[in-house]
Amino acid sequence: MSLLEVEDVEVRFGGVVALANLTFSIAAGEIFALIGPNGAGKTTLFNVVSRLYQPSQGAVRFAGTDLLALPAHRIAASGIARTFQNLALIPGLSVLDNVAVGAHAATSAGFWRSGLRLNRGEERRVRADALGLLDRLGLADLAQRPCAGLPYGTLKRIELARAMVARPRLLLLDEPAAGLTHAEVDELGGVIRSLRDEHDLTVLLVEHHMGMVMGISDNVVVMDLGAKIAEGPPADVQANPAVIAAYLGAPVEEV
Amino acid sequence: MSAAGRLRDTRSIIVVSGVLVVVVLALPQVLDAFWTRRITLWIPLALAALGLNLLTGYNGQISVGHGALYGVGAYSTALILNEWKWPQLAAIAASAVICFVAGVAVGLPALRIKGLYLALVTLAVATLFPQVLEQFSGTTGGSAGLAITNQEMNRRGVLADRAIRVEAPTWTGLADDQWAYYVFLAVAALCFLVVRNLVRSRVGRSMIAIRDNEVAAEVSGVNVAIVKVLTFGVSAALAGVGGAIFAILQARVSSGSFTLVASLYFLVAVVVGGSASIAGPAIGAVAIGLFQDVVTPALPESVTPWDLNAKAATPLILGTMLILLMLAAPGGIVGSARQLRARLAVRAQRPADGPIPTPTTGGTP
Repeated sequence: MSLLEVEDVEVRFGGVVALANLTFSIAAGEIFALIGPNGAGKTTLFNVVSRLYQPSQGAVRFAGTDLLALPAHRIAASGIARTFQNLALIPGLSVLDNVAVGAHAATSAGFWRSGLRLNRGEERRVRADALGLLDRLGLADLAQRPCAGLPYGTLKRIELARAMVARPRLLLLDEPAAGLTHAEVDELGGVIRSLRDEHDLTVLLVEHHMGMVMGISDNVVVMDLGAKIAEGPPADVQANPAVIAAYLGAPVEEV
Repeated sequence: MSAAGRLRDTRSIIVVSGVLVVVVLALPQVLDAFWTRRITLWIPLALAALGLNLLTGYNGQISVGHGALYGVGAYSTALILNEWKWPQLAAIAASAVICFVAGVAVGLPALRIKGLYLALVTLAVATLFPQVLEQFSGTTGGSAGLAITNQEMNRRGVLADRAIRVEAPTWTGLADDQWAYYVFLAVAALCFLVVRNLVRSRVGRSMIAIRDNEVAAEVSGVNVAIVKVLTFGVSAALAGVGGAIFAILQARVSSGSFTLVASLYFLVAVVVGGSASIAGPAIGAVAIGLFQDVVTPALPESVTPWDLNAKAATPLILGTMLILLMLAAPGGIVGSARQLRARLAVRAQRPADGPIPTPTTGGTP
């Protein structure tokens, strides 16, 4: 059964068509990669699913519900979490509190309960969850530190922890491997797979690192200039002449 | 930080705050009635700064209109006490509710506009408020002001209007001024405690998230509009409590107390004390109080070479000091103290623990 269905989605910015009639669907439990050259519309699609961009036509359904009927802040509660290409952490909060922000949709204490400290049980649970994830990602030592000044790879993992803390069903990762070292990329691939297995997760991945994409994905969609040019398992896509022409360039020899 | 260092740190925080509590509680016993009344007037300033700090420091919404919200609290209390003769604490609570509603109303435009444009809207509120008071001078007393009075039997046995006071119950053995200080200090302490709880909670995290990265907040599920508007309301309610206490202490309200200058003083208190900290507004209020009540009266009325009236020039002096402070210590007093503590901690740690440990970047086990 497909968990996310993107149907005939079009996004325009003025005269520019950022996404053109894009259609694909992701089965529950898959790791699904979205690849293509810069400007192909991959992040635009993420922003449509996050409800940050309004498509001019098309439909997006998540587990059967119409996502386009929800405001952006309700997406997290419906079971979708994401990371950002250029990081969207909160410099004014500690690492632990950054992760705790991710639990916002899964918790409920408002102004009254928070002001009168009737939120203690919930706070304890959130902190335990956040610490657990930081520990899982090897960041527990940094929990009390401010985010500012930490290395890029560490910040990416903090963002991953923030996305995971709400226990999403669908995780959108926007270039998680960018800026990481080779060793870190290999490790990240392993982390994504095991998170998927442990948490019954579906992953939609935008990534330029072909080694990682081909290594961990079950299915791949290749985009160019806002349109889908190929779709299928990694091996098929890699051999597709249109993909080689638009994106991979030559027979794949890197990795 | 090492465990021993952290323990030392916690212990020194407990000692310092213990000493502070004792000093704050002892002040009315040490000071005479005049000075007790003076420092009691710093409490409403601290409350207004607390409210503004929640909005500007933690949530990133700039308001230069809190003088008006402070005024709404003061006039609400004045009218409630004069017309309905409610108990003073009930009047303060009611003023907080009224100001919450007013704050939500002022905060609504903040959903569409941000930063400097929002500051302009609140500037309009601040400048309009005294005009509105003048306009309705029948009710508000305009610039002449409105006395808050009670009918009391005077010595000759005749009912007469008498300015309200905070009366100390006889069992306390305190003078009225001392009692007023303790009561309003308790109200302020309660407000500070609630704000502290708030900023360290799910709500506080979402306020800071909105300030630092609105998209990240929204994607995490924060209803940005609701949090912004409610923060504006709570912030206004705190300023309203301050205004209400101010009105009771003065037993009079007049439009001159709630001009743009009041708003700016609140902002200065937040910035000097240290924005986005709990102690900041209190420290900032004390700093401004000291400046107004201790430094200013001590200034000479004429400085010889240019025959300059230093007393009249206090806003200029305050402004200059603010600019210099911002250059030297952008984090305010609290920010500088934190920096100092971090530096001392590093220095204390170095000989014992060797080089400062660097955070690990890789290696999931």
